[in-house]
Amino acid sequence: MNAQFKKGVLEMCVLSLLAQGEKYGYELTEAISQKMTVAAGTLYLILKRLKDDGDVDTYLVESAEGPARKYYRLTEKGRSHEQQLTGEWQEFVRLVDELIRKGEA
Amino acid sequence: MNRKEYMERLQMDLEAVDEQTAKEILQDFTDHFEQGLSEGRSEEEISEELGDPAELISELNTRPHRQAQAESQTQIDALSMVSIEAESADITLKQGTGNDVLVDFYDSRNPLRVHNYRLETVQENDVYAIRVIRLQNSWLRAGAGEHLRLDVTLPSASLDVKISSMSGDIRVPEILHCGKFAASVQSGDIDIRALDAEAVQFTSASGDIHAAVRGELIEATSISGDLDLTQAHGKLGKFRTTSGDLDIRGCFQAVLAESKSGDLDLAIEAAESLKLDTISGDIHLTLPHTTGFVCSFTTISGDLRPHIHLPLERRGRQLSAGDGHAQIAVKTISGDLKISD
Repeated sequence: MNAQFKKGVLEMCVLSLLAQGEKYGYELTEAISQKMTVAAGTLYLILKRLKDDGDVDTYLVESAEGPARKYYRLTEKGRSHEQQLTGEWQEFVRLVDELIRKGEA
Repeated sequence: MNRKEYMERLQMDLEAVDEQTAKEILQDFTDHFEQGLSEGRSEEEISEELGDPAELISELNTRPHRQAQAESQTQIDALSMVSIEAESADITLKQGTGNDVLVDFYDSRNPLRVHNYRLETVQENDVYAIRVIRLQNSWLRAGAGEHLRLDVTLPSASLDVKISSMSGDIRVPEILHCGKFAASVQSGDIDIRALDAEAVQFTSASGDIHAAVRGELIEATSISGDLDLTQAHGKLGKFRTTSGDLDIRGCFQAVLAESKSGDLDLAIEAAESLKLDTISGDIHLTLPHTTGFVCSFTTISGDLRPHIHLPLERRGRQLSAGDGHAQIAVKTISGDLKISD
């Protein structure tokens, strides 16, 4: 998949996945890398930026089997940002679809 | 790569990054290793999945908090103008003591930024051009520019300055000496503490303009933004607004001011000629230390209210005061005119 597309879209994917439910870091990176080839490290950097921007906040959950897990969840700001991005994406996809289908009868 | 190697490489690459950011990243990656290992995956596999540390960290800035810096290597005599173009970055302009133009472009909140903008500095003949350019892949990040800052330090010599911005603010926090100064904004504000120029031109759509300026010709145009000039000093002042308010205090030989619905509040010393035009905007004209004037007021429904201590003579639409020295022509449709001294 085109690298330029990916960069812009990854952030939206992270926000969307979190909109579907709070997740811890590893869980999120696995969910995305199942569908796309992306360096998990990039996703952690995106998560950090989202946290610094106030779109996401984190909390720790103690675990019996291992180290404490850092969970990510959307803030109000993150929620509205996610809606804005997915809205723009869907509109974009619709427009591109129209353009490329114009060639077909 | 095994875990130890990976984390060591990562730590090395994080040396140029601020401590807090580095700490968080190291913790996240450590947790990722722990989780992966507990699921029975190999260190190699996890390193592979995380991605090359150097590549990842190069997505951060190598200089924390600075996306780009530039220094002109120009001969100062060859340079006559500095031109700055940005959309949303806030521009701060200062005057330095050297011969170079120094530029600092950064995100004020976060060193960790997808680079949606790029700084370009180039000398084109006698103009040093500074441009902040939006990159192609930023269509999904509308509004990502709000925290960008562009700090420009000008050489000590007086050059012409031309700045164009859309939503970014333009700030001059300390006295600036320059040739011709032109600043244009859409919704950003212009805030100038002290400007000493040959000529000044401000253009705004909805942004407000606050400035203390000195220049032979001072021109300011706004649509809905307010225009606030204090300690304005010039020969000719030309001010135009549609709905913004005009508040001008200073010394001019001649002033032309036009507004549709915005109000005009002018306190002008040493004026010889004033021409004021509004549709519905009210005018309050103060003439400190005036020796006298002749004022013609043409209006449909506006009122004339003189508050003058000099001997007054009113003849129809014309008001004479004192020695009748200054020439004042005022035209409104419904706006009122109040003249004080």
